[in-house]
Amino acid sequence: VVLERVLPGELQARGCESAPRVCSEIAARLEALRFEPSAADSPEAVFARLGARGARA
Amino acid sequence: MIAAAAALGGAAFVLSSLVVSVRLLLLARRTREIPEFVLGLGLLLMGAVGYPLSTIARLEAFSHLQAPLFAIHSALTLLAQSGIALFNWRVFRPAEGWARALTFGFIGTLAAFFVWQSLGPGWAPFARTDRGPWAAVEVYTLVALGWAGVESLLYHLKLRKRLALGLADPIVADRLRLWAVSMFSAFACAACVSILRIAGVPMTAELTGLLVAPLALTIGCAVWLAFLPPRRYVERVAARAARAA
Repeated sequence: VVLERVLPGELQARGCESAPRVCSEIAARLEALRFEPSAADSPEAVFARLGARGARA
Repeated sequence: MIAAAAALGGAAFVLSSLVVSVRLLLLARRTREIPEFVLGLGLLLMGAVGYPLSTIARLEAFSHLQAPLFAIHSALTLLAQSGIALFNWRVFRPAEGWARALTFGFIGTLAAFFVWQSLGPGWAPFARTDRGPWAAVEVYTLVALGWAGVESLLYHLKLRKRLALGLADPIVADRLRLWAVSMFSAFACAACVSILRIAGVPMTAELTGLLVAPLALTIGCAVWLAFLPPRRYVERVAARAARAA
């Protein structure tokens, strides 16, 4: 969302001519990266596990 | 009509608690994780077993069994509320000393009140008058449920901010909202019962139908949608989040 909607406008407002291309390039490279999932005991991870459809008994 | 509403609300709460708690306990058996075990245990003892047991204990037909039924129900409440407190600490504040102290203080003092009631006045006077050391359980219930509601609401609001940036799962954010709804409904239910008892208003079937039944129905539905969401509900939440992004 930031790279698609916010950053291009902000860069263009500051004189960057190829802002959309730069942003889409950054987004493509970020998508290719693998990030560590959030810690297994974070509230987010716990609640994801508690209601995951695959875990249904 | 009011009796039917009371029965519907109670049945939804008991059924939802039973199914969801069994599912969570089976999940805990696989994962060996504490949160699903304590939450499953809490829902099973509080909703699936404790709620019907407390109803039976107050029936005229079982008046000769009131003392043992109250003792069993109180033991289940002790375990269930301890489970909710442990869940709050382990999931939301695992590194914070105050949360750990609050949890162990909560469990220790509640267990002390249970022992005091059992070895002191006994359960027969408590069953007749709702008075005695164990009466403190009302405050403990409000603390455990209120804490659970506040923590899940705060985390839901945090995830909503991340959601706007595409940095959170909308289904998980919604699950925290539903858990907050169920805990605040349970808090409101317990608070209503306590206020009526303090005011000396007897809990009639009409009052149960008017006050407790809608809240019990809300808890049942919220717990079901949170932990056993139908596919269509999940798709609707995801679509709403995609539209908002």
